[in-house]
Amino acid sequence: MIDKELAETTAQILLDTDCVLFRPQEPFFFSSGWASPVFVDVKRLISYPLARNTLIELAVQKILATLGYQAFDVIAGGEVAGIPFAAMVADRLNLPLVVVRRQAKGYGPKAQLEGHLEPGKRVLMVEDLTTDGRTKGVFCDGLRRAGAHVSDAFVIFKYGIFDVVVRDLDARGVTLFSLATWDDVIRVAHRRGALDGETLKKIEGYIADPIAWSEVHGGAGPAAAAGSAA
Amino acid sequence: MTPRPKAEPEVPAPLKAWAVELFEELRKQSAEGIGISRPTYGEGETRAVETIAEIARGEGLAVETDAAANVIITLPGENDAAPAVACGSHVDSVPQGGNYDGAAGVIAGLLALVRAKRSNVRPLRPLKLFVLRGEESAWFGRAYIGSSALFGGLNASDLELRRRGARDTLAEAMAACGADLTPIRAGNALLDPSSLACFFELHIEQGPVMVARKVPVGLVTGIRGNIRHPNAVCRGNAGHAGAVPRWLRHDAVFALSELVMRLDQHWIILLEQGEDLVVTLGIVGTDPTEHAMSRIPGEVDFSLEYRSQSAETMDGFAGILEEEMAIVGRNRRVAFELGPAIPTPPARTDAVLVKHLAALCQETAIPFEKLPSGAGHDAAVFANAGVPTAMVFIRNEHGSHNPDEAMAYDDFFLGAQLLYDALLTAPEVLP
Repeated sequence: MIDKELAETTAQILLDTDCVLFRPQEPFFFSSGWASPVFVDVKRLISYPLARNTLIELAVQKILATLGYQAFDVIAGGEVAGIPFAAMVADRLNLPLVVVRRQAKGYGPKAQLEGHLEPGKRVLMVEDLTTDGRTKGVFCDGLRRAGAHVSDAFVIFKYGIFDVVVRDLDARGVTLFSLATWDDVIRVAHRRGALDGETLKKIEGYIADPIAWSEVHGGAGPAAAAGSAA
Repeated sequence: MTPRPKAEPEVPAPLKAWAVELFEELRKQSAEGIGISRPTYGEGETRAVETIAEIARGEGLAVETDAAANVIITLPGENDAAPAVACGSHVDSVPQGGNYDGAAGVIAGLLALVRAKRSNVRPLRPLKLFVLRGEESAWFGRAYIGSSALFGGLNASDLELRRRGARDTLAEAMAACGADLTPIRAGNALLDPSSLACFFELHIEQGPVMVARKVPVGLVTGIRGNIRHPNAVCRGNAGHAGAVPRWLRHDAVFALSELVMRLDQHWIILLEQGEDLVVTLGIVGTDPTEHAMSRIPGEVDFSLEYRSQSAETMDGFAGILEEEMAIVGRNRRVAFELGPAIPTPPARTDAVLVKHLAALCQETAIPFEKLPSGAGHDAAVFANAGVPTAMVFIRNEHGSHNPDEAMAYDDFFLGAQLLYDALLTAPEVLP
């Protein structure tokens, strides 16, 4: 499948399983303070076996097409939502799996990891989604402390919005790639008639300038964006 | 239906100067350090109430004082027996607060009554201005004291609350301001809600939204309620910081910290799910007469308040709180006691009045937006007593409850114009 097909099938799966919520009137708030009219909960997918299996197949195709067949030795999943997806991808690829915690337990090079990881291994991070990439930076640091080489991170869904603000992964030299972004989901939702004209217009306004949208809806604004970038 | 009186499009210049002077008079008389202080049922509040009452009398308006020492100013209407169209706000302030929080609504209301009186505009119904006392919780740990008393909503334990950093109880402070505590203690309403056709409160906005949206005037859709526990405590056991191993400790500070971080995780999730919630522990402390660096803290006092526009969310959070206190208490061998809860239910503003205000803004080309109020207001007490209520917010930079609040007078006069129009025309849309 070509990238666009992969993205649109992913969007269809997310919409079919009600992982995507649109609510332009009363925004959702992320822990980083951004207000958003849209919310996606990829974790829900684990309860839908057909959707889940198809999605993992798409993920494997995307990963192999992007990185090739000899690019990594170990799959890592972040606590909590990354774990099932990383486990399923590791299983398909018949590769070792490690789990990274949000916070180290005690100290030492492997304090943030569960599983066994030889220093020097090339690790691919697999996660459900990324909003602004802050947590991914923490996971990446945990893996590197244990001696891993981390150059790529795969997510099923990428907001493609607040990553302009927080460049934690860029700063670490890690390339993030995904199956789908908001553009894909909104395009497919619109085609299916799931969004009325007004909702679509509001969401397009959000995507055109999410930082301004967030600020006027009571969330973080340009000042926060400038602060994070600094 | 009587046709609407032909309104002037804006506040006349002499009245603008009059209002600015009144703001400055209030600022001067309550200046303290870098801000102003008008303590609830205290000297500064009384001085402001008296200043307003004096001016109203001088303008020939009727002035009365109720049993809670609130002042009510009336301009008679054509149909004087009909339920009154009312407005109002509070005159007290937090310590070292700003001059506009509360006073803006009182001055806008007085401005409207004086303007109608001076220009011989006879309203259809009586117009009333409530100059309210005791809105700020900073002094006695309880908010909306004056307005709650209006509707019989103060109870005996409220009256025994002590003033922060002082000895007097609320009952003593109220009595010293001339309040008659007999009906208040008995829980009797001082005002029949059906004697008011509606209530408008103009107030400065206390959050950053209107500045961000670049609108001078906001119409409030709903007001957050809150649950407050002013005197909560976590009890464990004190011990030697070196001699007691971790598993034998009953450390109150570690326990409270874990509780707070657990609550924060719930809070993050609730926000992501689109619920409205804010949670604050404004006061946390170990007892300075016995705490020490080398002593495991056996007890920590704290305050806890949470607010939401949804009663359901507040109930849900109360449940989370109980559950997490039980878990942390068991794991860390401590006991949490929240103490008495002081609840203020969330309030909805009246859809008909909000729509009317929006129509008035459109007619007079005042840019506006609808928004919820994160802070609590006396208007919520009126709304929950069954009075159709609406609120007008005025843009204000730097928030409130601090001396840096910055309301532009141009914005204030747009709001004052809207309030004036609303007071005169509300009978057109009311049943």
